[in-house]
Amino acid sequence: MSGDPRDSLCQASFTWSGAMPAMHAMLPHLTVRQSADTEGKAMMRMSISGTVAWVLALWGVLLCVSGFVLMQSRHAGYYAGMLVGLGATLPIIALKLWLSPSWRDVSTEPRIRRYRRDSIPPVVAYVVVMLGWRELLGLVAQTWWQVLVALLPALLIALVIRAMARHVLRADEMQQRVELMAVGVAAAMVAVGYSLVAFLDMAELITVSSAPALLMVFPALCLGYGFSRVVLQRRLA
Amino acid sequence: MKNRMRELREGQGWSQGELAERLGVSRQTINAIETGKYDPSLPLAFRISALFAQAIEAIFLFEAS
Repeated sequence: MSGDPRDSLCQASFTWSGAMPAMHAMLPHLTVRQSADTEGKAMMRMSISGTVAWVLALWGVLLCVSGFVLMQSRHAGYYAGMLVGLGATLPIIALKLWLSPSWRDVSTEPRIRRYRRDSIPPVVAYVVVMLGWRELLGLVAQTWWQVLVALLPALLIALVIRAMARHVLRADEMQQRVELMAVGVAAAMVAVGYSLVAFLDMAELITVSSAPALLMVFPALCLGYGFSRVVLQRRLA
Repeated sequence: MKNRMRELREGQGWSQGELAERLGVSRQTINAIETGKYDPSLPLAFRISALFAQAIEAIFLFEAS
């Protein structure tokens, strides 16, 4: 498949914008270590082993490099962008998993089970839609069908956000406070970051494409939220 | 605010995880309360008080700053 490098950049943002919240929603399912009966410092044990984190990070780098190589060739386009987007997500998720306390220490079993029920269907649907979204868009002729297909990934992301919101609402009072503080810190970081980029763009010092920049808002929020939460949880441990 | 949570929990022979399960909160929340990093809300303090069958002021000791 050949295409425009700008299309690759847009697709990288698109994949990242979906992969980040999707991976975020999957985090409790990746927790393999239980430390529910340990005390004090033992609670801060990593939620996955360093080896798994390294494997995820290396796969991410590999995918990223493959995507960039494809972008340089005449095959730049949808799949190259998807590889870069997914590749950029994996090392970040690996780092977050490595730093996070066990989910069993910050949540309860019934709450994790309900989160699985709420989040897995939209995440799986999102992955399926992502694989054929562009082709599906080309198959439909009528404008209103195109609008529907174009917005389908956003609808699935909205369902993931709903699962995350319900997960927060089911948390105990201290965890809710941690979640809300983390969202506040992330919102402030994104606001400052976007202001900086916007002023640099207006001063014509950099050029930012609008679609990728808009698509990055939510994943940037997820990224800031995830890492702020890790810092706050570690302070309370 | 200081509290006697750890002492009372250990007196019952419960782990932090077991106490968390009985109170319907996370283990990290129990740890944060015991170490004085988090002060529970009034409803949670009442639940703790009922679980240990002690008055709230016998568990949570207010310190004027």
